Amino acid sequence: MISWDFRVTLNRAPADDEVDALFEAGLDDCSIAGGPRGDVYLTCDREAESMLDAIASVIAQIRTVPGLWPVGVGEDDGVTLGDAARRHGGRTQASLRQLATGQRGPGGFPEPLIEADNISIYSWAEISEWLRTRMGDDIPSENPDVALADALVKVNCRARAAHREDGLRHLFDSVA
Amino acid sequence: MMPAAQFIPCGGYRHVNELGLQGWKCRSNHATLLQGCYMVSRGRHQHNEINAAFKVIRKTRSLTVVEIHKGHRWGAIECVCGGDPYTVWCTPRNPGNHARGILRYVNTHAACADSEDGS
Ligand SMILES: [Zn+2]
Repeated sequence: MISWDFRVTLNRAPADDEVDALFEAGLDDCSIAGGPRGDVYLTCDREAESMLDAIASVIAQIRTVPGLWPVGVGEDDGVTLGDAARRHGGRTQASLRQLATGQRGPGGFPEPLIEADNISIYSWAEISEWLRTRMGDDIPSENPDVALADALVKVNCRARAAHREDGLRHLFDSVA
Repeated sequence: MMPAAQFIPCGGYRHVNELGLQGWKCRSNHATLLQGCYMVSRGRHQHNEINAAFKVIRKTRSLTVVEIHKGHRWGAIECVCGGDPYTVWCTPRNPGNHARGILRYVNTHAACADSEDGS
């Protein structure tokens, strides 16, 4: 099974007991973190049949903790070459490594942003742009499943704010 | 006193509870009364990938590794910007992915020290 990599933004920072509750709900494959602008999110690596299944199972576990809910779904820009290969879909990690080391390709592959002993983090925006322009690879600018999940989560937030969640569910069932 | 029922050897992780009693904690929470981390030594996580990420944190001016050892939290990575810290689990499902998450946090917050200085 594939491990899908995505980010779910939360409505607020979880309190200490809620952090443990999230772990015990099964989110030990996600990390809780925040950005400099006050956003709080889970970065997730979830094994599932599809990206949508993975996102759905993470959101279902978040919802087991009262008072927490998702307000957005996205992808982190920081990737390993393994992550990049999964996002790309048409290249292996080995192929990307050869391009990164200059063994193959025109050279000039984007440099890693961060390097630890055995993990290098690259910018997915930089890698995907380089692969598009230098290698002619066809890579969509955003993952369509992630974009769909984000749109649905945001619609649900609007419905929640307007106390129309049941109405939205009926509408969704009749549209879908 | 160590209630025997709490110790179910089901292939989980080694834990030490608040009294320092060792036992096993499994994913299905057979031993939920056992909370806390198996401490390797101060400042070190039991997974080397995570220690490697800590080395990067300790070189990043805006970030600090804080040990908590409470519940499922080994600790946290805190930033001077006051953004929500990165929660470091005692027993992440995949230590390599958890270490990558720490490095992503570094990437997101690397410039925070500069903007603090500028303000
Ligand atoms: Zn910061």
